[in-house]
This record gives sequence, structure tokens and C-alpha cells, in this order.
Amino acid sequence: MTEKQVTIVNTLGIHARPATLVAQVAQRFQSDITVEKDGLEVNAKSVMGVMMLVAAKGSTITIRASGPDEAEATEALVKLVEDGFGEE
Amino acid sequence: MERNRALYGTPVSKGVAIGKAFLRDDNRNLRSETLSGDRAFARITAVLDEAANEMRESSRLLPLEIKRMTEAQVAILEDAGFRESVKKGLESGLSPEESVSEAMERIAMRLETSSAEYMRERAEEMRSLAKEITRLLAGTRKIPPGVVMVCEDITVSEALRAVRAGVKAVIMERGAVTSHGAIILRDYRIPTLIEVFEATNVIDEGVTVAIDGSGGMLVIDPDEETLASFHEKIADEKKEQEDLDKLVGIETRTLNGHRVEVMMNLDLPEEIALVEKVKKCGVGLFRTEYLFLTGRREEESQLKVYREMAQAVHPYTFTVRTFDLGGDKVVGMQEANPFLGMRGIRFLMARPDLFKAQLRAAVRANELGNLRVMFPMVSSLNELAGAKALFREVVEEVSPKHLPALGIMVEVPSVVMMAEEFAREVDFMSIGTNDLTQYTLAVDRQNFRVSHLYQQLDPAVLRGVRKVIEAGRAAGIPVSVCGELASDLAGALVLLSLGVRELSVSPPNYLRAKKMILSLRVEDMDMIRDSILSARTPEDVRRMAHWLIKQKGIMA
Repeated sequence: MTEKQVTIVNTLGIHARPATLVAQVAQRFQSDITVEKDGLEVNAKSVMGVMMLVAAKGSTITIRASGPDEAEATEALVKLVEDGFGEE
Repeated sequence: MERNRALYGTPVSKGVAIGKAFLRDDNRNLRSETLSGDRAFARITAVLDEAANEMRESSRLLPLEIKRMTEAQVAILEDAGFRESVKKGLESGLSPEESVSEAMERIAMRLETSSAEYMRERAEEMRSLAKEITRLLAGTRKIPPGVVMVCEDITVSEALRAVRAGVKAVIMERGAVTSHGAIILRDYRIPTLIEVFEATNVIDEGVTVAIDGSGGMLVIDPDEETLASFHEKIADEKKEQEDLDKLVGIETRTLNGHRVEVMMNLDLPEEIALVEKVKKCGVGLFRTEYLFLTGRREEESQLKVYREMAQAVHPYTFTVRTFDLGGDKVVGMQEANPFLGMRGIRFLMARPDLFKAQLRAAVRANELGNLRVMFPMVSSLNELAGAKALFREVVEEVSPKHLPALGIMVEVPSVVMMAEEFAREVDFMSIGTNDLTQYTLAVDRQNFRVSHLYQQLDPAVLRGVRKVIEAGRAAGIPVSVCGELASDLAGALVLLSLGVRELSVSPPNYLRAKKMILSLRVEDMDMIRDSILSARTPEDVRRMAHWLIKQKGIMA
């Protein structure tokens, strides 16, 4: 299993659109991927799940992946979050 | 409850009918239906897919920010996690609506716990999305045949569903006379009342309802005597229709022999049967929006429809109006002023892929040379030039044996003011009196607060019609009038007096318009032209028309 922590940098946090992006990126990988925040762990491939985290700017989330492409999956998602989902 | 309770509304479609009430949006009934378990989930899935597809399709033109929001909503509707959550709700015994609302509510409540205001604001959006889905679920409640459908309002697809299901009548709490849902009901002569206050609360499911479409009235749970009088009206109506049917196949000339062309406006390919029923006539307007809304957007599927329809109408003309989308017609399209926004030709020029496929289909379908192509909602010569350039491109690609005639709808006052210039650029023009009235008088015909100002016989509109007719004559091109004005005697008389010699009306008014024209004399009409053109109010116009009717003993 690969695990990485990352902090939300975009102003609006993980609202609907970023949640969609997370799920879309996660769905490209075979590995099982979860995102956790404050003890709530959800399936990263579900838009609804990711939205349920309600991760605002400055909060920290943990991405966990296990499977054949876990390293790439974790890296791709971390990069997405660090880039602020292409937002400000 | 008391018997014989009467309710009143605005008639949309004439006709009398008796049937059992069916409350379209009654959720209790939805729940008691045989929908449970897998079947319920299958239907929810279908509704979610449909909503997601519609949102995706209609969001293409939206500004980027709103488009992103729509994309996110689409993603939620399609999300396996969301659907799983809905399924769990169903399994725990909730109704389909409750399951959807509950699943969405879980997201909304989580969003509300956020410290960020932006997130909390999104909660409401989730809730309205849930409402939209539950509406769609309720809207697809299966309509049994022979009922009187009671609902708040009706969309195009719901109206089509009602027609196919064979409803006897439709009663709406809101609605508008010229909304497209209402137009479809009228084309199919389904008695329809709108603006019936509290209808969905007062009328119980299953109760017998008698409707008098012309009188704008309905009776709930009628007693024997009332029922008898309605049956009598139904018989009278049948008689009137039989009289009109005698006009089938007769050439339409005025009393002194002037030929007036009466054509039909059609909405659906299947309506070609209505043209055949009257032993053929031209189609002055084939609205293609329903092809679009029912997914027939590919060139080949349109080609098939246009070719078959043009052949059926031959030797008369068959006029294809390119997609008039936008405003109220594209589901999910949010504009502050849709009627001043991305409509008609503007939409088409923004979507050259759709536009070109449609033009190619129309040009290729013109095998017999009787097909015409018409652009909707043109407002400037630049727009027309752009559309014509695309049309030329298509013609070069297809190199057809017969070049279709090219025309425009005259619906925007700017085209009236520039009528001479436009007339030199096209092969024909068609005045759309509904929209022209709306834009000339700046009245939203669907807004009940101002709809009384919507008067097709307003002198401002009539002077516009006259100007366009004269411009057409000067340029040597035909000008027709599209709309229902000609279906009553005063309207037909006014149009003829303004020099109109081509009409296109909805199918139920076709024979009626014909009957009016057969009773008129062009010389009489010419007599009142100047008075009509110098009238100050719609009342003046009507008074003059009625004076002439009385003076000349005109009977239609």
C-alpha cells in the first residue's frame, strides 16, 4: 500500500468540481484508492464519497492506494491536489 | 365532496371531453405503483442517465464557470457511489423519490458542516438538483389511456407522452397558451385548460371530470344532468368537425376567386398523416426542435425524415425550419433573458456541427425540388450572411440536383425595419406572428402578469406585417404568415386586408382557416386596409373587423 498526505491549497477546497476530478483521475487506475480526512475514509473513485469529505482550504487529506499501480495513482492524485485542481 | 364543482381556466385547445382525473405529480400514487426493488432502481437509473445527458448536451454553450458546475452535477448523477446510496434507500423501504432526496440530502448536510461559506452555499444546489430528479421521476409516471391529466405545467416531452398515451384532456395549474407543450396538445386537438387555479389540490385522483375547452371551464364529479349536457356538446362538436371535413380537397379561394394558399405547421414527422387527411397541402413550417429533443440529430436520421415528409407533401412545398433551440427549449440552459439570448440562428452559428449536419440533411432530402430551408430568429443581415455562407458550403459539398429555396422567419422587429434589404437576400419570408408580437410589444407571453398586453391584432404588429408584405412584393418573393391569427374570422379578415395571400396554421385550424377564406371577398378587405393601418389600438382593429363582418353580412 502507498500512502501520502497532502494539504488542500485552492481557495474553494474540494467542492463538486474538484471532487469530480479526483474521482475521474482515480478511476484511471486499477488500484483500490481511498481518501481520508479527520477519520472519515471514502472511495476516491466516487464523486459523492470525495464530496462527503468537505475538505476546505488548509485541511489535510490522506490518499491511500493499494494495487498494481498504487504508486502512480497516489502520485497523480497528490499532484492534482497540489496544483489546486487548476483553480486559484 | 360536493358534486358539480366548477373550475375555470384559460382555454388552449378547444373541445369537450369527459374522463377520470389522473394527477401526474401525485407522489403517493407513484409510491403505490408496482415500482419496488430492481424495477424502481432501474427507473431511477434511467432518469438519472437522462438528466445527466440532457445537462451535458445543453451545457456545451454555457459560460465556463457554469459549465463546470454542471459538469460536477452530471458527475454526481452518474456516480456509482451516489447510485449505491440511492439503492440502499430503496432497500430500506423508501420510495424512489425519497431515496434520491435522501441520498442528495446526505451530501447537502455534509456540505453544511463546512467552515467554508462557499461549500455551505453548494448545499442548496444539491437540494434543487434532487428536486429536479424527483420531478423527472414523477413526470415519467405512466399515463393510463383515456384519462384527464391534471398537472402544474407541461414540457414538450411530457405533452408528447400524453398524446401517445391517448389522454382525453389536460388541465394545468400554470402553463401558457403559446408554450410548446400546449401547442402540441392543440395540434392533436386535445382539450386543454391552463391557469386553472389550485387544480392539483382540488381535483382528486380518479374522480370524473368534464371539460369544456372552448368555454374555459371544467366540472368535477358532474351529476347526470351535467353529464348529459356535455355529451350533447361532444355531439355538436362532432357535427361541426364533419362540416369542416366537407371542405377537404376543395381549393381555397375567396368568394371572388382570389387564390389563398393555406399550409400547415407541423411539429412531428408522424403529423404528416394530418396533411394526408386533408388531401394534401403545403407545410409552411416544419419545426425540427422535436427531432433534436428526441435525439435525431445525426444527418442520416434527419435526411430520412425530411425526405419522406417532402415526398408525402409533393407537389406542395415542404419547409424545414432549422433547429430553433435555446430559451425555453433547451433543458437546463440558464440565461437571465433566454428570449434575448442564445436562440435560433445564434445557437446554430455557435454550433456549426449541428447546423451543418441539418443543412446537409435538408439539401440532400430535396429530391423532388419542393423542399425549402428556413432560418429562425434572424435579427441582422450579418447573421444571415453567415448562415448563407454555411449553406453555400453545404450546397457545394452535396451538389444537389435541386437547390432548396432559402428563407427566413420574420420574428424580430429589426428584420421588419430592414424588410426591403432582407427581402433581396432570400427566396421567401415567413412572418411568425407569435414571436413578432412578443418582441414588438416587449411582452413575455408566458408571464401571466403582462400576458394581457400580448395582442396579435395590435396595430404595431399589423403595420409590421404590412411592411414585410410590401417588401416581399417589391422583391418578387412570397411572404407567408405563420400563426393562428387566421383561424378566427376577424384575424383572417385583417390578414387578407393587409395583403397576405399565404398562411400557415396549426393542423386543427387548417380547415377552419380555409372556411374563413372561402367566405371573404378581397375587395371588401381592401376597403378597410387603410383604416386598419391607421388604427390606434387592438380594440380599434377588432371593432373595424366586426363592423365589416356585420356590414357585408359575412358568415363563416
